[in-house]
Amino acid sequence: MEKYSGATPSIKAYRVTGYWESSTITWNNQPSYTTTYASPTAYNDSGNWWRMTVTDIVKRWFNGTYSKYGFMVRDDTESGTTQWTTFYSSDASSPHKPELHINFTGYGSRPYEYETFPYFNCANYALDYYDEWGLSFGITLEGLNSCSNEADLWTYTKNCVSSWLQNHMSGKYNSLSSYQSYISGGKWRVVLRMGYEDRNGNGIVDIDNRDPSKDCYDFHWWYQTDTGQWAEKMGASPSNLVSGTNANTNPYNVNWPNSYFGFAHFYDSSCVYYAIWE
Amino acid sequence: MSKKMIITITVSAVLLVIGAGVTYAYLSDILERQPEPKGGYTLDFLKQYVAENLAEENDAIPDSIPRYKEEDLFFGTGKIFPLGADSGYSKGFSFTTNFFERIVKMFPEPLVREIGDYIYLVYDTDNNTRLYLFFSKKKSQGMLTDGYPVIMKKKLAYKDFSQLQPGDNLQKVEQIDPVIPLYRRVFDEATDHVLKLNKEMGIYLTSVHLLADGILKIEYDRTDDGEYVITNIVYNEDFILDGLDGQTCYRIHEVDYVD
Repeated sequence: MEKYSGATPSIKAYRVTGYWESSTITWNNQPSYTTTYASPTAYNDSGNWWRMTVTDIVKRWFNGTYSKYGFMVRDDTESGTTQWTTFYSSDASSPHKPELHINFTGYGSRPYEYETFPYFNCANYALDYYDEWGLSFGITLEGLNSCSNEADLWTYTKNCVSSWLQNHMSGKYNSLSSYQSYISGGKWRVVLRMGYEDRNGNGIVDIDNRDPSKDCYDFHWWYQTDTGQWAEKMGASPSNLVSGTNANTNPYNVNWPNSYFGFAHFYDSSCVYYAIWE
Repeated sequence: MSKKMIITITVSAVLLVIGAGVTYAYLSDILERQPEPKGGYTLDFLKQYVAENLAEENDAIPDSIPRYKEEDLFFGTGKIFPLGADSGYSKGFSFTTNFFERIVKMFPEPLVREIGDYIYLVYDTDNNTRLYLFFSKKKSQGMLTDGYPVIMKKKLAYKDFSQLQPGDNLQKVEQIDPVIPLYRRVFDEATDHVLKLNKEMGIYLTSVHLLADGILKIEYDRTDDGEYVITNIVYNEDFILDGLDGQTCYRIHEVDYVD
């Protein structure tokens, strides 16, 4: 809101609970309001513009919890007539009108899909790509074992994935900078991480996932369902919704286990995000 | 130069030429391992490959079994499959490398057989070891290896092993089955650290012996002095073993045993 004149404001936004008209509203016929989910005190954004964070109220408007009757803005202290502040209203000309900025992060368009076929892996599942079995992005044992450490393995993995996507899913994906990056309709988010364990403890990268005497390496993908919860398919196991995740979950802050091997946090690389669409 | 000496030199030269020819023929008979494919494995490839290459049940043509260097087949990053390893171990990973297609592209021209629910591939080595790899149609439509790889140098029967018992050492098994030195080399590569981890998962050093009258699995532990002692022996006359991915049947056609 842009201040017109008066004292430095100390105001909050409250959710109005009844209908009102801007042309007829007065002090005496003002609608009721509630302090529940009130915004924090407004802060100066720039110049005379003051910003209030009203996320808690707006989210509930859009999920249908509350009707949209707007906000009431009031000062923390209403003890007399000497302290007052005026703001431009919506009747003012642009660019002075109050503004409501809504950032839609969106969860993506893809509902949770239950997949049991043991030979489709996490990548087949997350990318919804089933033209080949055990999608491996051109990663080879020879390539992995030419790496000298875990950082190299992650670089090699990311490069293979990137090349593969360019060659096989061109026009059906784009990179995202974070799990909250904006995606448009018809797309869904996926996230990739990698795990490596010097299983034989010899300090050398000697990977062979067929051989229990060698090091183990794996990548893992999740995709975000249309409810915000993340879904995965771990190896040959059926798919599942990742317990404890929701739209606010940063995948990096969650332990990615490999329960088959008893590793509580096996996939521990940084995260790489993509938007995928049909 | 006497006539006798000339004849001797001539015969020696002829023998040398013949010997070199035989050696050349033998070496040229050894196939080269091909580069590792970069994935893209499909069921269509498998179906077409099997349709085009499946040997008839009684079509025993030893010459049709390709020969590879033992070093290439069993050791190093490019090995066909780790000896003594159960394919079910790979189930815990998204990144898997035990595809039928990968194997026949890296090691082309195997003898391809079908028996019951299984497809199996047969290879020979330059050291006269025969390798069998099994693929279950029921479990993976034949796309992935099932159970253990099996190697054979000599056709044996259960009676040959019947005196073995837990506590016996690997040397005693070696006296029965000449494949054991290959297993010993694999066992020696395992660190103490990994053996401990594997034990916690129920995975043990293992040799598998396909016999004329069944399948035999022997598990071992390594002692402090580096010897291997038998901890468990499993024999099944129906050729079936339990593994990390359920049961596997190791039955092959009679004609595919080594002579």
